[in-house]
Amino acid sequence: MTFTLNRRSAASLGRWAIGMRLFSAVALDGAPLGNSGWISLALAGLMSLPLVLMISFMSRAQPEASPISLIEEAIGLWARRTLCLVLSMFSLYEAGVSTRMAVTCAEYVAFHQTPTLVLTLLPICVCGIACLRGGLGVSGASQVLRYLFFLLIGGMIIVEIGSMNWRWLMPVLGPGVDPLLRAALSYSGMTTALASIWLCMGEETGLDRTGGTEYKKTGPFYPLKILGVITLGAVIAALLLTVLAPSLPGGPNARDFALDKLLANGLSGAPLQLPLMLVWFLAQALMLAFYIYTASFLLKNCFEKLPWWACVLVVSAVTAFLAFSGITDRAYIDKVNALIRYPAVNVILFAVGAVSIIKQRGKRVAKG
Amino acid sequence: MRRGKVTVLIALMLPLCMALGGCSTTLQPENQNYGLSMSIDRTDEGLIELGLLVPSGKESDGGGEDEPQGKDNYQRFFTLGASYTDALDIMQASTPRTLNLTQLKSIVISQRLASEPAFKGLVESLTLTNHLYGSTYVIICLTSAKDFLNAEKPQAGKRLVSELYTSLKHYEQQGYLPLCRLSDLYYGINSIYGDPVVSLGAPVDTSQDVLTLPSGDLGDALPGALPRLGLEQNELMGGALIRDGQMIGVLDGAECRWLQVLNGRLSGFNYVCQGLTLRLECKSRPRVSVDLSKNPIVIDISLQMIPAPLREMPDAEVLKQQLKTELMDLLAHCQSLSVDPFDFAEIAAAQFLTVEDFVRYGWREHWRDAEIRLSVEVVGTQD
Repeated sequence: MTFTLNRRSAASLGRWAIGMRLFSAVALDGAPLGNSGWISLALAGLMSLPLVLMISFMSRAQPEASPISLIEEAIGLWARRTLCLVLSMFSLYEAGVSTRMAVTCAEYVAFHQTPTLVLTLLPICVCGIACLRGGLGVSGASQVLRYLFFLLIGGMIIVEIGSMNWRWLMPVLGPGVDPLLRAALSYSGMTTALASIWLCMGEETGLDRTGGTEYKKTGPFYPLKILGVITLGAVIAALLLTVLAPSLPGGPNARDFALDKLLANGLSGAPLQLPLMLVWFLAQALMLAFYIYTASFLLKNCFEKLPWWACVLVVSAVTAFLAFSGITDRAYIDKVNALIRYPAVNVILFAVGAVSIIKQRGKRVAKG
Repeated sequence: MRRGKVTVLIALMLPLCMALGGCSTTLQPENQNYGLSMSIDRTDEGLIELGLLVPSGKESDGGGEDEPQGKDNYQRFFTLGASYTDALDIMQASTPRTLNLTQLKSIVISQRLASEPAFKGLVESLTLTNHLYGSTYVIICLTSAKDFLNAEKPQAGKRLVSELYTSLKHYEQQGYLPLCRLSDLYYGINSIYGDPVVSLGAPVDTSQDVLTLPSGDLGDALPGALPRLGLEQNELMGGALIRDGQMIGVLDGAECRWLQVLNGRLSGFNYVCQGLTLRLECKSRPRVSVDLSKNPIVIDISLQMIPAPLREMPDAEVLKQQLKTELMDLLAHCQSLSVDPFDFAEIAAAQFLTVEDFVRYGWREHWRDAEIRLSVEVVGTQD
């Protein structure tokens, strides 16, 4: 069994995982941004361009080579292993954050008397089993939601269109330029997830990963296109969210309150809640599966002799542990991401990309 | 093969996760005390009295006054505390089953408590109460909220859910009652876009059985004194004006009707002019513009109404003048209290770049002194 993703699966997973993370950041944790979170998202899309361009350039320079082999070629075996370990740890952290958020939602909405331990372990086990079947198991689920999503969102918009108030988008700059820029910087961390997806892609062999039958080639990985789709989708979602409830400068930042605002909205009728819940929980399961998968894949690329099932098991266990620990609490997420994760991943990958490009040019010059 | 075995093993172990939590309490309906309505009062001693209406599992024996035999009954719990959260804690500790607020449909707060500065904090505490959802309706009671709760009788079985919704929606359609959910109230108190109006209610004074007409039309009466008699002992009509998180005035039913016309939430209603009954329909939502460049600021409101007389059309000029007078009275009433339930602030806010700029501008003071230019047109007639 091959554990890498094909191009199409990578693109599908990337859109969901990053889009969901961005949306939850705006909807649940973006209270200080008030009515203008959509501006930060749009700016984040622009800020992510340099690294995404670098990834795009590398993947186009040698479209047949796997990203892992490209990196190994650029910085050597041990450096590549170390990089995979670091990225695996960051994916693990994000898996813990995703689990905690999913558990909070489930507890708040319906399972408030179910032990948290059960609520935590169940989704991890389910996602872990999906990951055991390799990348296609995870990405297959995202394909299902892809078609369901537009149906559900379309229904919600039709139901709620009468209660949307577009004046709540004003004043246009909301809390002011500084908070919007700071949030944009934080949201631009979406590139780390995009980079993880890119690393999980295998060589483009034109063969199905499981059966060996031919499948339709979907062409090269288009990180720019994915970034554009994610940014646009997240901006539209943030706009819709804003016109459904007025912003509250200085309002409570409690996640319970934000969840109520998001899921029930306090203003919306039952017809809105069911599709929103479906989209919300399906996408959360997908996000968790994605991070467990990427963490396992990167761990496997660090310790090649470790069997795949052992990687998934270790990652699942650590995810559960992280979900219960304080560092995945909302108060620390922004700090961990802004101070450690995003700068580290962006700087390291940008440097690796630069080295790779320089080496490739050197080879071309030598050949010439 | 080996991997397949591992997958099967993990899948088989999955149900064991259920056992990890031990023997937890389950969410069976019979183990829950589902609150349907909540009352909050300030006592003479300065304490908070919390009341909860809970459906009773047993049938009433019909011995109580006004309780039809065999009908479902309610249980009522009341607790006292220094604050709302204290009283709720005592309630949770003293109810015989697990207190569950997920089905709460209404919160009744006494006018006395709503008129205190502490009201804003109370609304925030209510909003942040776990599993008390924002879709719960809020009612401000002109008298004791406890009396309001005690007067709740099951008219159509235990399903206050549909009973309350049906009656509230009906009153809203008449235009006399502005509906306000907990989230509306919370957003309205904290938002920069205007001030909330909360439904007004009161229990009937049962000691009097003589009906008296209000001085004007039906809408001029306040709840508790409506010219009616019936099984339902609680009356709902009019609205409580909230400014800076505190109740500062009252709108009667007729004023609420005009408020909802100006907000674009009411498109038609029955009306009396020169003793003739007609139906008034709004041709479109009122057009409102706010000119901040002038001092005082100028608010232009343009309203087009289509009258549909029942028998005979009153004089158009008299009708127009009457509509204009009533609307201007309402606007002047709200201006005198510096309260903006019309959401004119939404239009003004769009002319600023940041929220801070708008807050610094001081909309409330400018609104109080604003010059209103109201244009009411009576266009065509409907047959």
